Amino acid sequence: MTEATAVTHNKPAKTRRGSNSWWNAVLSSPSTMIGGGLLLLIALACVLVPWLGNMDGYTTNTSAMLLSPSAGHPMGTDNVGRDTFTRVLLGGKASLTVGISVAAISGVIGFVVGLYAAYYPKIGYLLMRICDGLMAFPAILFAIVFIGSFGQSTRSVVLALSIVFVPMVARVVRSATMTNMNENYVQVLVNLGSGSFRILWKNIVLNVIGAWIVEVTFVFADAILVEAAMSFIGAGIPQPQASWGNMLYDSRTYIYSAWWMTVFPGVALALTVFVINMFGDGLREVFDPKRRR
Amino acid sequence: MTNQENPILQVNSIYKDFISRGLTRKGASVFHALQNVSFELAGKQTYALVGESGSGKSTTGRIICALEKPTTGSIVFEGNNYTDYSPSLLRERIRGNIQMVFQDPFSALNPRKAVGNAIVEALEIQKIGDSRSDRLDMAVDMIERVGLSSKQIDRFPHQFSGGQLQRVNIARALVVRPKILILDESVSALDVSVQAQVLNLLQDLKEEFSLSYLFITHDLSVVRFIADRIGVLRKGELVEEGTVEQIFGNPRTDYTRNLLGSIPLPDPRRHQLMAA
Repeated sequence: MTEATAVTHNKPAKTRRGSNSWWNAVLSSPSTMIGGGLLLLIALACVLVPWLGNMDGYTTNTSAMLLSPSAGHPMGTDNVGRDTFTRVLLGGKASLTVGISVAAISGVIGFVVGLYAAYYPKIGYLLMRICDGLMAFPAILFAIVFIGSFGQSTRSVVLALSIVFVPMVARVVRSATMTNMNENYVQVLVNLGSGSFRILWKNIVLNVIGAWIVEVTFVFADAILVEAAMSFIGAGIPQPQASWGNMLYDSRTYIYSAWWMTVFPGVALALTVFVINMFGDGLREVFDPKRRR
Repeated sequence: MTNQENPILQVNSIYKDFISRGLTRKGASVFHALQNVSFELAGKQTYALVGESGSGKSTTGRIICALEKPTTGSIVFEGNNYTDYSPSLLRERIRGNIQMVFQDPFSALNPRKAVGNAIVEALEIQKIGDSRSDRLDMAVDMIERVGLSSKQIDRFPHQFSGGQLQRVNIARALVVRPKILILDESVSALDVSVQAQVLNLLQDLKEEFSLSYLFITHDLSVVRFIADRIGVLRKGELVEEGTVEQIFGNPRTDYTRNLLGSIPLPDPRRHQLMAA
């Protein structure tokens, strides 16, 4: 039974041109397409809508405090009269900026660290012990200490979370690289007289990049969650700049009188993280070598 | 044995120990993978190294390829003892001259690299050819020489069968014009008809490129067809050595007799097919 399905899976692979096969696999994976599409939609909405609509998320207005959702304020207003819809979008922009920056920085550093840690076992041993040390701290604790010493700003949040997430990426890349190091094709390259640069960056990288992309999407989602938690306890993105975390913090005293202040940022946060994880799961299927081979 | 005075490769009493460190000094143990193995590979000859699994055949191959260093002993290629060469010196003088084809054709190719690119890469590493198109031409020539079509050059390893992939591996090894080709169980994973095709191909290529083969295998029926000399390894020791006629006609040790006895009785018709 399993063999029969494997055969039908392999058939299109025979005619498929190699360079397009990843792209085709993405197109044929619903969770990647839906997750990626929704993520793009959320990102565009958060960036473009406040800009195009010239919306103001900062000016307080005491005559419009705690208004329930209406045509003028689709998500109501908060305790100082700011439009919740605008602030949800601006908060999303801040969260996604933090998420993407953290994913990019920790992704690149983690990739290089993981690759060389696997290739040079002695350096790798040292690097991995440092990573173990970093992982021993809960992400949020490390970030709070970091912000305590370097000041509260979006940049500090991004830097702190990048440091926290480097070990996660590095471990995944290291183990994927080590698996590849045992393959004979690396021995063949050594035997042909290839240097480490070619082996790592022109051969092993091709086989590691899939696992790396998947891990980076999960870091992206995690970073958004940790940033929200930090903002919630007042150690994240500084007020009055909107973030989903600090909006939830503001709403906690009004949770019974103004549910919209809690629900909309909360739903936005949950939805975004869900969509990113869906995208990551889809990518994992796409890059799964067992499916493609 | 006309070339015996000038062997292309000499293996001089190599020992290889694998040390596994235990938690205590008592837990540490030494495994003698190779003990006092010496043989010579004459130019344009085929030397077959046979033995059961775990006898140290593959370790010998890896040491000759300088993928591992022997504990003691030396390896001499065309008069140069390269046992203690630095990695850069190995790259300069040895790497391109000794190539190896592994048992598992899938694992020996990068799954994300088109086979043509893998062959071009071998040429790039060895700095053979002037431009990419030049190298691509050489790759196409070699691909066609081993019996594949030039149209298959853009395909990825998972789109080939095992026999085709082993041809690709042979093409990649030969495109850099080595003098010695080490075949580490290279046909063992292939089914019998494909095995015969690949062996015939190897015989043809040997003439064409004036190669010397070191043929590592457990399969004595293949050895009879391809080898000039045979060395029998057992638990890391070379227990018997001689020409094919000597080993097959007059084995001196019980172990060799046992190995010979384990060859399945060949169907006379198939035997002729292979000898043809």
